[in-house]
Amino acid sequence: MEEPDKDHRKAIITFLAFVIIAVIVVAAVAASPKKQNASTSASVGTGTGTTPSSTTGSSAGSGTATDASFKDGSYAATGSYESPGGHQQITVHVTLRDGVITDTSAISGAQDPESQEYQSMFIGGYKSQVVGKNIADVHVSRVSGSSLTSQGFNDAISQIENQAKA
Amino acid sequence: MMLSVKSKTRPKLRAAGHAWQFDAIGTKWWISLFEAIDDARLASIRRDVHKRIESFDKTYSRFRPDSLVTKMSQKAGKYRLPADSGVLFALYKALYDATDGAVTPLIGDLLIAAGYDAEYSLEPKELQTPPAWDEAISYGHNVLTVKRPAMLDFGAAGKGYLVDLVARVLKAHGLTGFCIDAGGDMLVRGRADMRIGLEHPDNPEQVIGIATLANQAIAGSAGNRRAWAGYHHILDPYKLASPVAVKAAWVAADSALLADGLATALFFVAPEVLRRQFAFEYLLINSENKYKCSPGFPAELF
Repeated sequence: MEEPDKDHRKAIITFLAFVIIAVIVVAAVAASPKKQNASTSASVGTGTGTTPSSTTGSSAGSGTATDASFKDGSYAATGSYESPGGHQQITVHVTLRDGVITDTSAISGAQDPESQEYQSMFIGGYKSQVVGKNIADVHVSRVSGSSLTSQGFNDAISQIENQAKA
Repeated sequence: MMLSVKSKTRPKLRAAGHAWQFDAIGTKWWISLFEAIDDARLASIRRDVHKRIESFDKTYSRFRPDSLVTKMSQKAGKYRLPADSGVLFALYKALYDATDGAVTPLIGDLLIAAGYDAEYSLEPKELQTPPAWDEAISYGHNVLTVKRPAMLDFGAAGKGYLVDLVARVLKAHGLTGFCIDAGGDMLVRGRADMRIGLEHPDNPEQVIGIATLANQAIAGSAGNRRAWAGYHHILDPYKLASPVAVKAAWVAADSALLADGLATALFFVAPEVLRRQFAFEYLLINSENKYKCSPGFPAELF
């Protein structure tokens, strides 16, 4: 069996990704005209089975079933598309077995249309030090940080502290 | 415990609405609904939320002797997982690949050896690098094949995912505006004036800035609370130590699953690398308390 050439494989995977994305977009647009609907985590065809039966499976499967030189395994591809809400990016994972897609999943994230610097990726290194303000002095609804722990963990920590003191 | 949210005590929340809090999956939850609903409907919503959390916990918690992952840790074989597992495993595999195996669900035995076990013994024993993904497990069609028994741990992204799943329960009840806060990892739907304080990594009494969320999730990770004997809840499976270069990480993303998982991944991999594959905004604080954040991170820092 010949090792498929990398570019060729990449092209096919990109194609698969776009096929899947197209299905997601169509589904999302059909489901609702609101842009946010296209943006949540989605699982496409998870559990489709080894015989492609859904639209996703058969579109993508026909591209590979004839090409048995693909190695079994998981592949990932990231694709972009334009939605009514702007530019969207999605990562699609495809599992191949005997040249057939056996599983796909998609992790998508809508881009904030206000965020124009997305592609720049990066704004330099670490800047100045953070400044803390007392929670009592600022107006907040909730606090996010290290996850609050349950009583069980807190009890264990205080037990250990007590043992250390003893 | 249920409390009606009054505008006096929580000025930014609407007078109409309900909030309740509870302990589950090892953290404190707070759920706020932004609309007024009658008691019968509220009772039914709360029942479904708690049922959802219970079924997730019974599948994925390594802290429960009766959970599916505890069973998997005892015997090799094929295990059927619920339909929600596809997205969870896909995200874990993506994070595993993106971090060269540093973020792995196979970290459970290492956390236990370090003392983060079901009894919270917090007594470190001999630590070993966990097996590689392909050596230990394979996932497909809601079935996990456990090739060699290992304790799986979904601490990196499980909580965020459960927040998403609870949001789905609320949506199924017709709710469009709510905030689900699971110990600081939260999802907001339907409003833009939730002000989320970002906890100072050295001082839980302080915040370093305020994030404003609408239709977004945020998750934070820091080593200051779940810390013991030189470790915290994130362990580097190769160095067998907790990462120290990053002190705290926050991620804003569309789903709490993504936000939670990436907040852990940022302890191992530079954000520029992860942003090639995942869509998110971030804020990082390093060991010198200096910060770095993406231009779109929805917060004002002091």
